[in-house]
Amino acid sequence: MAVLSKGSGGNSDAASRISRWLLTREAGLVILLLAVVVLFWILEPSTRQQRVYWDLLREISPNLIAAIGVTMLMLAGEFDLSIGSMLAVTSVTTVVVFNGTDNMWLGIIAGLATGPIVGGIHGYLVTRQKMNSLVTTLGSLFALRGMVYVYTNKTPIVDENGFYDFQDAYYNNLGPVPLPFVLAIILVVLALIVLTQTEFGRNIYAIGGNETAARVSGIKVNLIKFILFVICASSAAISGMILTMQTGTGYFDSGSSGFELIVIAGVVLGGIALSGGKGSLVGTLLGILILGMTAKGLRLMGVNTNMQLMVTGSIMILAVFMHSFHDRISIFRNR
Amino acid sequence: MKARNRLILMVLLALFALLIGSIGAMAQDEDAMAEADAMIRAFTAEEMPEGWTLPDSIGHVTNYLVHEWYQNETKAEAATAEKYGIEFSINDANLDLQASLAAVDDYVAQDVGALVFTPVDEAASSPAIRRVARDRTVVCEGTAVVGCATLVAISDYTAGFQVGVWAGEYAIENFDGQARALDIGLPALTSTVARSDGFADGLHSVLPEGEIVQSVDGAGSKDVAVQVSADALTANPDVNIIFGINDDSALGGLQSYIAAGLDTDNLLVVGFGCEGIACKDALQEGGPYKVSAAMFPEYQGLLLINAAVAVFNGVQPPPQIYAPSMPMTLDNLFDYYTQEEDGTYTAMLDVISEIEIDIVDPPMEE
Amino acid sequence: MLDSSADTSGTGIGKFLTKTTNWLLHTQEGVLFFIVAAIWLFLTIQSPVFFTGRNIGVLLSQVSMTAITAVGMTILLISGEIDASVGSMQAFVGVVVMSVLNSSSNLALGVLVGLAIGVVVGLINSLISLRLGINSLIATLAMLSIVRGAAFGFTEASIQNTHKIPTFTEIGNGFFLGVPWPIIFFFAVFLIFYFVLSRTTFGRFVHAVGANPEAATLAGIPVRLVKMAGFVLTSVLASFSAIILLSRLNSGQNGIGAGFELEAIGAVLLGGTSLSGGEGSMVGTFLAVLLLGTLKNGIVLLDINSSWQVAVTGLIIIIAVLLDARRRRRLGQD
Repeated sequence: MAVLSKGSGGNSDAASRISRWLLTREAGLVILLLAVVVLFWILEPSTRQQRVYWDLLREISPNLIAAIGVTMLMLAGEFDLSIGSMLAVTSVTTVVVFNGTDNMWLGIIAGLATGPIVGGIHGYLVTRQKMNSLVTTLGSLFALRGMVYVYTNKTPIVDENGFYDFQDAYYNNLGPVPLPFVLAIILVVLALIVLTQTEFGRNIYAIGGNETAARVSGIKVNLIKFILFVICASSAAISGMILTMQTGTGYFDSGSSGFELIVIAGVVLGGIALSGGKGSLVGTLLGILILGMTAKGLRLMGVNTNMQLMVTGSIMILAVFMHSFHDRISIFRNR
Repeated sequence: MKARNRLILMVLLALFALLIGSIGAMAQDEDAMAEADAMIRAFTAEEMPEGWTLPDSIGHVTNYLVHEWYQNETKAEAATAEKYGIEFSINDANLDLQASLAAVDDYVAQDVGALVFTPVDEAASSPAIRRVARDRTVVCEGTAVVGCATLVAISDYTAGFQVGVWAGEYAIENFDGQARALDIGLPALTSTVARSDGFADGLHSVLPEGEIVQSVDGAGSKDVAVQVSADALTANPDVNIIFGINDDSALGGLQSYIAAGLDTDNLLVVGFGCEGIACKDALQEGGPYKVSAAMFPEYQGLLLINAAVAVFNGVQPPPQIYAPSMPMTLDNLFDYYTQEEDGTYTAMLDVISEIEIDIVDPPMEE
Repeated sequence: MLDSSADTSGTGIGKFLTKTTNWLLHTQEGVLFFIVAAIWLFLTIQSPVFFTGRNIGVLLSQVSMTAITAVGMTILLISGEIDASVGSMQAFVGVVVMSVLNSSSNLALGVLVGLAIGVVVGLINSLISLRLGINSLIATLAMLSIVRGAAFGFTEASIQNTHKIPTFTEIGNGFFLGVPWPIIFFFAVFLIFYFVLSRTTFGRFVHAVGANPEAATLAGIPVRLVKMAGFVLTSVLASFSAIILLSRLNSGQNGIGAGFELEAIGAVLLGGTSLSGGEGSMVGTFLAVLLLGTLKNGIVLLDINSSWQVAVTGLIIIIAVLLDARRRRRLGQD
């Protein structure tokens, strides 16, 4: 297929680049995303207005930000299941400090600081104590949520100062673009640069591809993994902060209805292999968008919950099947 | 002299008028609210106040449509809306706060005329609801959210208090005044906490020595209720009253009691809601499940749509429009419901609308 | 394999003692055993009702549903696959079986339909994972949504028991020679598959397939068939759990079982079975299920705020995994 591109002319070079791009994972996802959008465009008139898409970008921002950390961690072959509980930890910490100090910035700093702390503990347990990350973070999923329950006694913590600047940040826009999404995109771009342009990023892929080989070739596997756990929990903390802005409340059950599953589903849909070493952040962005748009379209159509579940499940199978199909083709092509 | 006297008289008169006026205004305010309340309950598609316009569409964001309460309530809303010629739709958050707030955005994007909102969490929904309620009718269901024009709900504390009194009286008659109750609660929601509190206070009001031996968290679902109550009943096998904050919790407790091999002759089960078939069938069985605080979703659905239409037309509603509730037993079940041949039940809305609502206020906290 | 050290068929008492000491000190099962024993001792001292026949009966009955599913899950995980759809199965099988029972009044038919659903879903899971080549965690997570949707689609309201078959109630609540039926089912399932896993060719195949699929293929082991058997077995045992749960609840509820998959998979992993396959222990699963069940039971018995249950469960999981990791490293250094 790529034989066409042997020529040296600028035009055919561009054409070959496009044809090569069309065979990538991301191209398949873009087509899937477009298909979803077009489908709802036809089926549901209310999706034909701009505001629906700005709403969508605002809504998926927390998921997208958390997905950045999860993606980087999964690329190195590790997991963090505790991100849903992290949302509640950040949210409750922020508002408790708001009320205790009457200072907005202290609250924000304290809330965000929970990320590196929890991530550091995970990193220590996995890299130093050699604990399995999936089971460890399954444990902290319960432990963190339980501590929030015990501390709040399952009562939402209301922001007594009413920091409206803080709450408005969720709904405000930069031009037409929702502020949370601006933040999300800045973080995505930063992470993308780290992953593709730096030694650190290349090492992440190397570790996920073959950890032993990476270790032998002198990559500081433990250090990198430790940093990734910190990044992952921190990105979850930023998500938690955004949800706290939206709700103005320290909510004990924030993220308890399967936040980690939705994010991981988006990441996997975007083509990150569970075994690590394969996939890209652009895929993650597209995966989260596809899931978000599907949910939104179905909601706008007034489809009931059971159908929403079935459709989302089927799309996941379809997308992952697409990836495995793509893998097989590329193996075939490389031969 | 005369002029001064006149001046003093005038000042006094003016002060007097002001006093009367302000009292009158307060009374008028209350009167207006009572009037608004009565009107919201009364109007129908045939008898609509003059000059009113109807919203094109009403959307209801529910929190947990899996529950029969919401299914029956939204059916009633749909039926009422259809009578008015209003398009009605439902969006369920399935207990996910993010999904719930996103569904509110979606209804705004669809430009619904009025929104009915059942919060996943009342505090955390407030900023979003306040924002939407600036230029749109938002009526809350079940639990109040700051920002909603009004709340349509039963008084949870009162309904709990009433069944508590009922249970106390039953214990005096049948258990020699012994009452040892297991409370299967749901501490995460203010409304369900009020139910448990009301029950305890109602029980104590007739039977001061009655005891809530243990309160457990049944998460409002039958499987968790069965599990926690089984453990609680091994610790306290002498429990003779089981109270659940909904029918699933109460029926789950009963199930564990039977499984523990305890004698159901010495048991009273008190449920809450009685919205579904399970409760009404259980009442008819004549077993230990003898009473449930009925909440009549069929009637609340009607009230919700009426409230939304009234607020849409600029009526100033009271902060809460109380929905009727009362202890439902086998003796009065068929005063309010008829059973169809296929086993389902139909509510008699006329009778339900006549239920007197006598609010019991919870004691002030110190 | 870890289980073999649990074998107590040694000749002399001395040998038996060394073996036991070895087991206690050098295996994940030993670690778990210590933790369970410590908690049981603590609860016995703290609560007069904990160590009574009645409470132990309740405790074991409560865990039997998770345990039966976890037995299948252990085998599936050892073979290198996973099934996250078991949570929704609790709801779906429940509502279908209850309505079959209501319309037919035939207990055997109801149970058969329930188990048949298990076979079908297990086959679908294995088809998606093995034929389409989709990672089984993802495939079954998608199935988790789809099966839940099917349960909601099957019925809006919960389905009440109108058939009143007495034996049906016995499944979850009855006793046989003073022992609750769920416990008998649980022990029977556990023993059968303990032996299947440790003493049969199929058991050896499961380990071989999970440890190294390529090598297993070369050795002539039907890899796909073995994995498929694991999927079907897990799904059928999950259906069996659902039938016991149905009997205990006495109504088919379409909203139940949320998080059941985390509990079952969590127990298996906590029991020392590796996610990457090839290694695992049935005894470990048993102890882990017991541990998680004891925590729930104890927190209610001591009348501690239920919020603690979530926190303590999490901390215990972390401690157990930490102890196991330290043990492994110590062994590695020796």
